[in-house]
Amino acid sequence: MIEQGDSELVRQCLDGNVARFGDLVNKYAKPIYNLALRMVGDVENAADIAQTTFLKAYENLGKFDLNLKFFSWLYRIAINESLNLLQKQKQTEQLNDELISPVAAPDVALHESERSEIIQQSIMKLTPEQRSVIVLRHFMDLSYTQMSATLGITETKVKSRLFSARQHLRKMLLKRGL
Amino acid sequence: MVNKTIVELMQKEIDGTATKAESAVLRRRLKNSKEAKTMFGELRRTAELLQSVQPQNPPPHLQENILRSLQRTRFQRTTRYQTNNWKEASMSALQEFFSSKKRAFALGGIVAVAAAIVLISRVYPPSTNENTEGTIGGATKYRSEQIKQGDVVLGTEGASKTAAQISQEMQEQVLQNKELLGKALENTSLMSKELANKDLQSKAIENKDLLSRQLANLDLLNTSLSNTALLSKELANKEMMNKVMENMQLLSKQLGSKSLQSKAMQNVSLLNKIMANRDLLNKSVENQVLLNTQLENKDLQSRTMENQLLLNKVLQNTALLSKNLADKELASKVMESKSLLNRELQNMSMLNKELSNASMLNKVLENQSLLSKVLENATLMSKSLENHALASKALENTQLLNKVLENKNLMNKSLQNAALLNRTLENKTMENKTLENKQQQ
Repeated sequence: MIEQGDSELVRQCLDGNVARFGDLVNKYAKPIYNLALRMVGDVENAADIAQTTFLKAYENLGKFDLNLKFFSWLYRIAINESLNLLQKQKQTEQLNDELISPVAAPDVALHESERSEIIQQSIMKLTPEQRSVIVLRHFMDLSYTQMSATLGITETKVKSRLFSARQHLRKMLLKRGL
Repeated sequence: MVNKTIVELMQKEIDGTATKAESAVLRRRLKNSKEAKTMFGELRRTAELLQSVQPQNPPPHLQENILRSLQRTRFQRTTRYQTNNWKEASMSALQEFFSSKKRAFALGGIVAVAAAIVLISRVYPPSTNENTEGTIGGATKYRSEQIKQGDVVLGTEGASKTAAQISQEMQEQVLQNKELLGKALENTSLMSKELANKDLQSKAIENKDLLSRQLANLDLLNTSLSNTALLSKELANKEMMNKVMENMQLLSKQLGSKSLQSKAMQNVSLLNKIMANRDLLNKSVENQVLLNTQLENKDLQSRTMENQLLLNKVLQNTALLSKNLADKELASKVMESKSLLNRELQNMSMLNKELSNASMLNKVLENQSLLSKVLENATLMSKSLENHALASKALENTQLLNKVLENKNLMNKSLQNAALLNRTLENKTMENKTLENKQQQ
């Protein structure tokens, strides 16, 4: 990820070359969609969140501090959007444990998609805070410092949250035969 | 319970941020703790599982939809450029303002309207000079007369009038009022027009001010435009300067790296020299060892030479000794035999004397028998003497054998010495070769 390129695109966009934002959309559409997907676990909602994220970013581009990293800012918007959606969902419906498929035997060779599904289901059982660190570390490949900047928490907190999230996830995955 | 530091090391190892030293520490700790080992294994497995999940492609029209929705929105520019440099911010704002074509058109429109207002304000309102009448007619204003004391009729006077008169008057008054009303209406419309004109005038004045301000602003804008051009040039220069600085830094780095490289090369050559010196040192040490061995061999050689000389002397001495011993033994034997013979001769004279004595014949016979016994004894004696000689010879032989054995040992030693000598010779040839090599180097 060349951050200087992002800053330059943002600067050009602010200078009136709005088409440059399209470049940013093309660059970050997939990561933002995947981030949202891992956060909310739903394809349609993930697409909606991605769209809202870019719209909000575009609307508030004037507020963006060019000294910061654009992707961190964008990821932060996406995470906040995801958390908002999850909060709304929580108010209307609770995550149904019964929807989760029964435990697979450990010796059964799982198909990759099945395994991914189990992993996603386990991620969805984490708290939103734990989920966000797991998503940023393992799916967005962010460093502790970048995660700290994106989530607005200290690196120590990032590490402790990541550790507890991994442990929690491990227990769940072991239960699911992984 | 696993230590907090180990947990941190585990995290770092899993996330690929651990240094070699940290990895080594973790490995050591994991060896000692089974619990930590299982925990680390589980955490790593979790991380691997998460990494194995492939990213999914977004819906095909997502980007298109986003871009379409962006077209309907505008981003906020008000609080942009959160930089510390206010000049930069203001100039960039101006740049932004003039960058849009629509805004340029709008500005042109404002200028045109302002110019029109100025023109109108100069012509309107028309002056009150009569000469100007006909262009735009002067306002024919209605001015009603002020009410006088005579107009006010007291009730006592009015009461004398009949109802018809009153009604007539009233009708007249109504008509008058109607006319007055019409005039008043005209006046009000004129008044309103006047007011409107006044408003227009004040507006025109305001517009004049605005226009003058706008003109001033235009001047300012022009200057700001030229400033922005200068600023853009400055920015470009700054960028150039930054690039130059970067290049300078790169150059300095390159120069630094070149100097480092040259130093490294020097170090490498020094290392090579050191290695060569080490080899030479090793060789010299070996040579010293060889020299020592050579010296030792030389000592041994000299010792062997001395030993050999001594051996020869010993051999000579032993030969002489053996000869002396043999001579001495023979001499002693001769002396013994001489003494025996003398005794025997004495005995024989005695016997002869005894024989001469007739009387002594029996005795002689007896002596003969005795003689025979003596002879027997002599033979026995001679045999014993022979045995003694043989014993002495055997002793000599054993001594000689011992000496031979000693000589054999000496010979073995001399052979060893000879082998050492050969080695020393070889070493010498090696030395010569090394010297030659050194000379060649």
